[in-house]
Amino acid sequence: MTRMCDLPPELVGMIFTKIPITSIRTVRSTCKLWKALTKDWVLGKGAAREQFLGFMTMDSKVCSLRFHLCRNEDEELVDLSIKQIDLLNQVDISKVFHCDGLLLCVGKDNSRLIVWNPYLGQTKWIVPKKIHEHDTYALGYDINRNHKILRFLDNNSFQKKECFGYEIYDFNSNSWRILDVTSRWRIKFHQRSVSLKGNSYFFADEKLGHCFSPGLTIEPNLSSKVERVPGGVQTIYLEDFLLCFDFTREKFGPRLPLPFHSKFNETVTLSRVKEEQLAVLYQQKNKSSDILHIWVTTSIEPNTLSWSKFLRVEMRPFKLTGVRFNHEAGSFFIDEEEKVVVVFDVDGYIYIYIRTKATRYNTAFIIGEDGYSKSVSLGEAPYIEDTCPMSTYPSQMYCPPLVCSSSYFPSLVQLNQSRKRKERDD
Amino acid sequence: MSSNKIVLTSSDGESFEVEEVVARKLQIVGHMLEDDCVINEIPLQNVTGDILSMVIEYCKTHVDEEESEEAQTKLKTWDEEFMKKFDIKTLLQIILAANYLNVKGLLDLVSQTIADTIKDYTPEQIREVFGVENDYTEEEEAEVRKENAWAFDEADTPKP
Repeated sequence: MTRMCDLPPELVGMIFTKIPITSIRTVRSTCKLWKALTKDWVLGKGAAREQFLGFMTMDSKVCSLRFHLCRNEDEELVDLSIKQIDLLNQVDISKVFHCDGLLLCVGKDNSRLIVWNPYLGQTKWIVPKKIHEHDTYALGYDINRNHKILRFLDNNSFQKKECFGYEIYDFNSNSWRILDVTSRWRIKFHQRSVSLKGNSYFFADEKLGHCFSPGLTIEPNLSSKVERVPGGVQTIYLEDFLLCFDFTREKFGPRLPLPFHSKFNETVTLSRVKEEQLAVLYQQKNKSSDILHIWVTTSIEPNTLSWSKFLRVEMRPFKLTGVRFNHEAGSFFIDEEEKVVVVFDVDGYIYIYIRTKATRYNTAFIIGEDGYSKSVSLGEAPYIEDTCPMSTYPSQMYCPPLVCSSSYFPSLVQLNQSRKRKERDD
Repeated sequence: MSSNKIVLTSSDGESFEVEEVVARKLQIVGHMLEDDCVINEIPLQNVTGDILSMVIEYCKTHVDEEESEEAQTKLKTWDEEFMKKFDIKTLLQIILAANYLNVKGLLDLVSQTIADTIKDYTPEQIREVFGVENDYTEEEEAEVRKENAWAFDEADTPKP
């Protein structure tokens, strides 16, 4: 009888690449040889993708996430499963970033970074040199596929005290270096980068010279302006754009156009579609109802990009639906086949005057064309005591779930240096 | 098109007379013909007659790969039906033959069929059907399951 072990390894490998990544547990627990072979052949590389598999943080824990939506005339199937990852959750994790099959997990207090290759089961712990609660991180790689982490703090509005610094961590040298960056833009600390082909993209806007609050004079420049009403600043228009950090040149590229102009405090978040495209969510806030816009890039390079519209949804009055995404949350991914967007936040809208502690839920909002809308509760959201008293967003009082935009593609990037060296010597 | 006939002989002595254009779908044969174009009988050492006849059936069906959508759909349906005829043991023999004879389309088709089977099975079912011995201790197996728990289980996916 012909058995699997009669097949040459390259044939078994070829079969493995056609098995979806969600079967990795089954394949690896079959026998030791199969487990070993999965470390040479990437499962799912050649498989058709029917579902979304990604990572997220919820209640300061890293979770994996599976999403599958299947709609036809008679029935609808929504599968949204979330699983906590025990391996990483010895520390509280606030955010995860994905690049090249690696996840960068940022500790809640920013004192620790964990890089994880889920496919190979390898982790690497990195301690930042300096830490600040508003540090921003990005993961990427250069032209030689050396992986690097960008850390920065570029904000001068915290208690009017200037905080500034750019650093880069190189996986080859295992060390941090200071980068010389002069920024004439502002990347808000809550903006989360998205990596594409090794480089990281950020949503940014024009830098203001100083801290602003209603009534403060702001020097308008050519593209940014401030509309004043008696008694203070009503609306601040700043030029907004995307920036690409090129990990080969270790520099930010030119300002890249967005297909909209957002107002102060409107929600803009980035996501990735497969390995080639960037997606942007923009929630245009109106007095009574909001419009949710999703665009996807049609071409993207560090110096140029173009957009096409993916979805435009008029949200019913948010005071009725209670759906208004926070500018600090609103992480999302899109399902191209079903033409829906899945946005994560805490449910409910809170009136500024009747703010009370209530039970709120971490929620996935599935929104599509023709009024398609569905929300899936992911469990109770923990209440955070010290919150901004002006906030009208539940997610500023309840830590929102954050999805690491793109679907996960495994890679064989080694994190274990000694092992890497050994292989090279062999 | 050439109507030249080629005789393919299996390891157990079974002979198949096929059109040259069909035989050329077996790249191993194609290369032999390029090296020496006067051959008209080719012995194939590593494949038995019953398996070779299936490979030939596939090649005959795929001899003119038309680009039209209709033809492609028809071929796809044929492929699906063709694969349903075989059990895993036979599929493993076919994949070995397709690899040796170098028939790319068939190699892709069979590996996809085997991959789809693995996808829907539990480790116990896989071991039984594919003749794989479980060399894990209970603790080791539990550890492997734990390490890979992040990826969920395909077998648990609800199907519409």
